[in-house]
Amino acid sequence: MIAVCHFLRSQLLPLSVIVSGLIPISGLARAQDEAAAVAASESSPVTAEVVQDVSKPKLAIKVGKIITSAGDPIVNGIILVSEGNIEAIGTSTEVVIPEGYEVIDHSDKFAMPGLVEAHSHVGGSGDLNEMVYQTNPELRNWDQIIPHNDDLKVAVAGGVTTICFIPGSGTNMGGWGALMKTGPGKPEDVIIRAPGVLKIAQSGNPERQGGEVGSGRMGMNHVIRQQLEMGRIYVNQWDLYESGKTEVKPEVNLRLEYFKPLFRREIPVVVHTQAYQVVQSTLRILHDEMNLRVVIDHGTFDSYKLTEEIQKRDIPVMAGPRGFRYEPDDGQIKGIVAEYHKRGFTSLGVNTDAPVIPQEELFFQASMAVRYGWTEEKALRGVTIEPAKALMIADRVGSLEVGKDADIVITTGSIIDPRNYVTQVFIDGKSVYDIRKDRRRF
Amino acid sequence: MKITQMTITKTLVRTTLMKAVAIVFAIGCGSTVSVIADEPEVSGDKTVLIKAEVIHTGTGEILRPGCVLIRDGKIVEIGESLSVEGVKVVEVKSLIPGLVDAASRIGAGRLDDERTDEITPDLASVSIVDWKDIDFLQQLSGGTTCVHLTPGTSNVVAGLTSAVKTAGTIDRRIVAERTGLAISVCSDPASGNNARSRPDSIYIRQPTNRMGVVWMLRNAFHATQNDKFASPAMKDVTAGTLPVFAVSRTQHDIQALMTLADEFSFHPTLIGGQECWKVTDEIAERKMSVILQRVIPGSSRGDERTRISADMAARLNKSGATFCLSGGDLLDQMRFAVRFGLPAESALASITASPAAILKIDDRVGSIVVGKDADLVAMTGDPLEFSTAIQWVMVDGAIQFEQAGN
Repeated sequence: MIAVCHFLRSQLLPLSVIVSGLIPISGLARAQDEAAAVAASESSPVTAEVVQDVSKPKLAIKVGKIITSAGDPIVNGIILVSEGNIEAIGTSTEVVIPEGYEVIDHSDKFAMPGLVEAHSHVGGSGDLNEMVYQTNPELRNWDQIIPHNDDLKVAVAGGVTTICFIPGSGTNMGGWGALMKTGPGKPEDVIIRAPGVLKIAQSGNPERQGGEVGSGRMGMNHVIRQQLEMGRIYVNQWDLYESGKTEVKPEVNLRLEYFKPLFRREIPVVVHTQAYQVVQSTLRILHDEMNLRVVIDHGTFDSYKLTEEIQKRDIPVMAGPRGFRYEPDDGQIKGIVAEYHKRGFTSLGVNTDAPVIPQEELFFQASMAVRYGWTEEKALRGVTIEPAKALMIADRVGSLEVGKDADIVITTGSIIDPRNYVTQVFIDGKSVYDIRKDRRRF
Repeated sequence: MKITQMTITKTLVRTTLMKAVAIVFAIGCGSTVSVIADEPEVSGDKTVLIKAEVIHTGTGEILRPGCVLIRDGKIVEIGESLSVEGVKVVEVKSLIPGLVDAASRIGAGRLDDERTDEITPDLASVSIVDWKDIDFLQQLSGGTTCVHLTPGTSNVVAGLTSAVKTAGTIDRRIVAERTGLAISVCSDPASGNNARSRPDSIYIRQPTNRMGVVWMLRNAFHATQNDKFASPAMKDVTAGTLPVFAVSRTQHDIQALMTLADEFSFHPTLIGGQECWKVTDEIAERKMSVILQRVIPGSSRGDERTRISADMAARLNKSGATFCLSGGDLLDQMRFAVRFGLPAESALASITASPAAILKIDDRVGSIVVGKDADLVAMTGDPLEFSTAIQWVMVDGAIQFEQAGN
């Protein structure tokens, strides 16, 4: 992994090049220009009565510009936070600050939803790959979660508030991952869902050399199918029993238990799949044959040539960590996300595969994609609501809307512009990072 | 002077020398320091009365002065002053219970971990005890009269722990053959295994990391539930009749242990616990006992790169958790714990009554109470005082170690 990491890093362009290549800077001046248009918008704030909890303060955050990831930005807005959730959001004329709310003034700043990472390995101890067997549906990684660890503390300073913490790609089926917040707390406080996802790595890492099946793609596809089929049969037996279609109670098989939410399409499988041919087999085996909720987590190299097929199946792509590819046909460098985008694909985001790319640089993966032709508006969605939807947690995170978790990132401007930085972060309505109090970490 | 129940030749040579020095010293000083008034010939049915200026019973109670009457190796009477006709009388300055080391591997071959399998619940630590191991004498000389022997951590389910005395006749040295089942909720079992060595290697096996450790434990517990041929030890654990001792050090491993305990309804005792200070509230809430592994003063990192905190004992005590110290040099460990905030009145219990209660052998050892084994340590003064030294150590009513000059 170190070799790969070095390779990827060495391909990154100097910061100055990237900044100069960006679209016009989204600063506060622009925000104020849009004020009139947004003020006319018809969104009306919703308020609800809540019981006061001292650990979850009632906050009124005044912001210059709110990027909601749920419609147009709000200029001169107010976000009311209560019980860890967003209680109301709107312009300062729409939202009235009730008595007893602590007012936090960020009138000269931007606010946006906490960033959501679709592919991370830094949520806990380094126990990523248990490599004795090629498929490991018995393994789970949430026993190794270390909340708010050193990597996550910096990630917060990069605006990342939710990560998909998954086992590595050393085997075809690495185990079950967890969706978690990056802030402090006990594991049960930070976990959003566990099992959150299944990790499958189709090729390009799990190849075996030890003599068992799985040295090439045919063998690897075979063992993945075989293991999933075993899981499907198991879940089917339980479905028949639980729906009363049979009275034969199946025996509990601990190794196959977590296949239940997967085959019931309550959680997705995130797939380490990248090249054209490999993504083809992802679509065929995991989607068409197994009928799973699939997330293409990588989708790099020339997989964008399959955009139409991916779109047809409504499968999201969270591209990364590699952001671009040399195209031998025309000798050009292609931005992978931009290539999907050009083909009209929208369920699109980026990932870091942290620590391959540092977790706090998630936004920068999006910056790079914008540099190659993505739009800034899509990029903002691609680090917030799109990964949240892909991971099936958009009911809680990914956008600033009433009722959702108050995961709010305050920045000096659009986070896509690397010159801007994060000044404060709220997770579940609690301030977990504030450069006025903490040392600025990133 | 004569020592009874001598089993260790080396001890015999060494202690005889010490005694010679002791006698010379005693004569020279005119018995200003408390010395043994008379040789305690406590073998068989002999009765001895020990008179101390102060007795720390180990349970927090202090007798000043105090007397202990011993018969047949047991404590039969305690009081401020006892007068018994026609018995040997031994006078000392202060008397404390024999110390109990709740996590030790002395005398039980360090090289004897089973290397071919990960789940070995029925392997018994007591089966490989070398009763003549010099380490027993070393621990005895530090006041430790009872040790809890645990199998190593290279297996996921390592085997049965046992409690033994550090001295005495072999027939009396086993306190409990089967105190509990040792499991490893840490990365240790993974360290020897791998996925990529010679195809015929026995080390190509799970676990190669913590995910594998957790899975193998879950699988072992789950498999026991419906298997009538399951391991007796696993069955007893599942039935709640055999305690579980789990080695965990990092915060996440301690939390994983709690998750496992909830899933399979067992009530583990934690061994190691280097990062337990981060989760003291949960530990206290669950009434999970902690056998703290030795904290080396001055180091901030423990095994598995854990962040250790010198005031762990004080924090656990404050939270109301049941805990004890372990790992040798118990008196000095206790003094360091006090230095870092453990209240003096709770200190002695952390190396006597608490470990005995945690190991469920407190019907026999850990405190100076009528009916318990006469495992006693005579000291020259307050046990918390760094300059206080051990005079002699008694196991089952017989003095097994005596320090010259004290």
